Amino acid sequence: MLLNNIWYFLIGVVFTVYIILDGFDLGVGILNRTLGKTDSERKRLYYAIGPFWDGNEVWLLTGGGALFAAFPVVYASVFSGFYLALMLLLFFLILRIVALEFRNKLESEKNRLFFDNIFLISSLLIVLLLGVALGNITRGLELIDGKHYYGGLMGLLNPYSIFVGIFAISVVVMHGASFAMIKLDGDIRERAKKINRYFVIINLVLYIFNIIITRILLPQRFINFSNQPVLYSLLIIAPIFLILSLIYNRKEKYLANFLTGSLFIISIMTIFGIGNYPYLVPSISQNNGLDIYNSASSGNTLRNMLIITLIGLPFVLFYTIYVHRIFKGVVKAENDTY
Amino acid sequence: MDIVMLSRVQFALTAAFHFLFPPISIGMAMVISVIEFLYYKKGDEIYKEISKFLIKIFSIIFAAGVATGIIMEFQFGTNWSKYSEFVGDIFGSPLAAEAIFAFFLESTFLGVLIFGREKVSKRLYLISTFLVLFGSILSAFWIIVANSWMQTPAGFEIQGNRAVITNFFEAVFNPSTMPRFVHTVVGCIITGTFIIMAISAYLLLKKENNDFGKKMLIPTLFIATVFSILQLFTGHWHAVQVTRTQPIKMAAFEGVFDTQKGAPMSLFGVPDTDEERLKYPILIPKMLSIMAEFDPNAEIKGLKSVDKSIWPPIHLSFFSYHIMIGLGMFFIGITLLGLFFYYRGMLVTSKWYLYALLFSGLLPLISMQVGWMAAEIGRQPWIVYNIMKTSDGISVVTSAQEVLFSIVLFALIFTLILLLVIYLIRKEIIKKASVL
Repeated sequence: MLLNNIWYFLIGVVFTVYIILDGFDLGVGILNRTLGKTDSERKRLYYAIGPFWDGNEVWLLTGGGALFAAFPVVYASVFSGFYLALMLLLFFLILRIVALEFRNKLESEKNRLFFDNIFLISSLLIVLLLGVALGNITRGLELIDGKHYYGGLMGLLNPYSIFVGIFAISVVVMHGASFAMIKLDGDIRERAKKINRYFVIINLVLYIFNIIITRILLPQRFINFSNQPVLYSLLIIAPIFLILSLIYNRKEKYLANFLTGSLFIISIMTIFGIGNYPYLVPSISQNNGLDIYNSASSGNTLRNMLIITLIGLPFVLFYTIYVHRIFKGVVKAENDTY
Repeated sequence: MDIVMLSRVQFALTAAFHFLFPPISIGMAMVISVIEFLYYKKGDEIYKEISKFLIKIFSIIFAAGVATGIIMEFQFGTNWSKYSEFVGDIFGSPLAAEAIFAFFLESTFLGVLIFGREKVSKRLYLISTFLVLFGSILSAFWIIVANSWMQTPAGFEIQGNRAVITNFFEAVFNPSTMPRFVHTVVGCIITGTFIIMAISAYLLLKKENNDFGKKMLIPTLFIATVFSILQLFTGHWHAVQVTRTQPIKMAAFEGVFDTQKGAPMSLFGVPDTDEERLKYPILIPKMLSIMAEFDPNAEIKGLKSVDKSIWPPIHLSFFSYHIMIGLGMFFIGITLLGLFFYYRGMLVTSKWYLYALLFSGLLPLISMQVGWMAAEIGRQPWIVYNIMKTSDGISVVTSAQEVLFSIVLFALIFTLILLLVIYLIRKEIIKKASVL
């Protein structure tokens, strides 16, 4: 049963890393018209994420694959239950890649601007959809026969989940601005600094509000905290990272600002993971749902997958660090290698 | 249409469209590696120019592959939830392994190829091209592992309503994995080389005897020839495996209705499923038995040996298989002819041959598609061969309207991607032709 717990943790790690890494791409996407006022400024924004976004998105694919391998019942029932939402998510993920990859290859400035708008809208909707999904998984679903969700797209659009979706957008915007501060200089950096500052504060407010409404609407998500009161400290630590992030923004310590922002993301995902444990998808009405035991693969598969992960992870970490080292530093105005 | 048919259309559409791009990527990565190696060894700047040009096209194709590939990771769950639950214990692992081992590798070093020529040493750049090639082949391996398990499942037992793994290595190296993997990757390399040969031919037709086109064409022609011939042997290997492990599939490929000793190989024919015989056949006597068992009198199972309800769609299987083989023979012919011309010193001056190369550019892509169709349609009506029917694998809660909606959604975005890819590649080629 240890393996089931390890896989709950690992799936959480994969999706958290995805949010941190692709989060800044998505944030830059949402902000591309705000940070880059001219065509050439926006071009620099694309270069800033160009070498990274593909590897970042692989974390989402890894999450999908790992969920399929470790908890196939969740993979099957959630993905088919969230059918339309997932299809829209895939659609916008594809659209974003089209914008990202082909934008700088287009001749006319008008077309490039059109692609900038596509980049903005698709990034925004990806985050909204993922946030709404996260909200629904916190809230729990109406599960028939213990595993089938029949509510459709409309059933997912409840106020609580939409709020989580908006919170997600706000976090990603903060994070994208933070990344832009590291990677770019001049006017873009100044704009990014300002946006980051605002959104750190907005996130502080949204975070507190989120904790309060979750406590009121979903007290069952706090059972694990009450059983281990030391875990409540996490609820305090998360906003401290935000405040630190604000201080580093003021001190122009960009990397520290980015890292504390990332630690905030890790904290809220940890809180989410603890609150939902041992459920991957809790049921809304009864105290059951798809948990780490009734939806898991056999012990053999969980063990094989762990071996695969242990072999692969060092490589993945090496690649990630390596690519950030090669492409470290500020992206200059002109870049003719693309 | 019912939900089963719609889900199959959805899968066929997304998989077939996705499958246009990875084969080109793998083949082009192979050529780019060779060209970069030549640049590294000889230091001739023209090889660097060729590689830069090819990487531009490669990056467009690769992006389209990534964009369309995302769907593949999720649609088993969305459209085939009963299948996903049944096989999750086995099928999910190769998908996850593909992401962990291959996708990270590819995406990282592709970033180096596109953005990093001035940032890394010449040697590291060369290594990066090798790693992109290696990553893309590794990716092909894991996805073919997953698909091959559906063809020839192994290393598992059925517990309740799911298949549970008993031996990981038997499941990964199931009887069809290796022949299908090698056969597919060789096909990918042929696909990429033919497209590059077509571009070279175009450039050589635009400006006679130019060094750029010549030095792009000649190494590519060598690779294409070697792999076209090699494909004959891997194809044979794969066919023997199909005959032994999926005899009904082979019977559909060859239009063999009656179980017989000394079965012939059909070069042409029209299967008639009502009369249950092959019409207008052109046959090589006993050849199928010889190919399969190395014995002219070996028994080959016919379609009639099983109930008609579990026949795969005969016409689609038969014709896609034969088109694939016909095209494969053509690739050997045209590349050997090119090699002959090369040694006679008339490769780049023979206009009609350059035109022939130009118009053959996309033929391997067609043979990849029909080959894959043969493999998957020939597996029907099973989603897991002889174990689970395709119609039993669909999603429980998803409605036909929702599936139809997703088909429309993907058709729209695929059209956009296809137009962009064609427009951008055309632009790069025309730009290159104007500066030769």
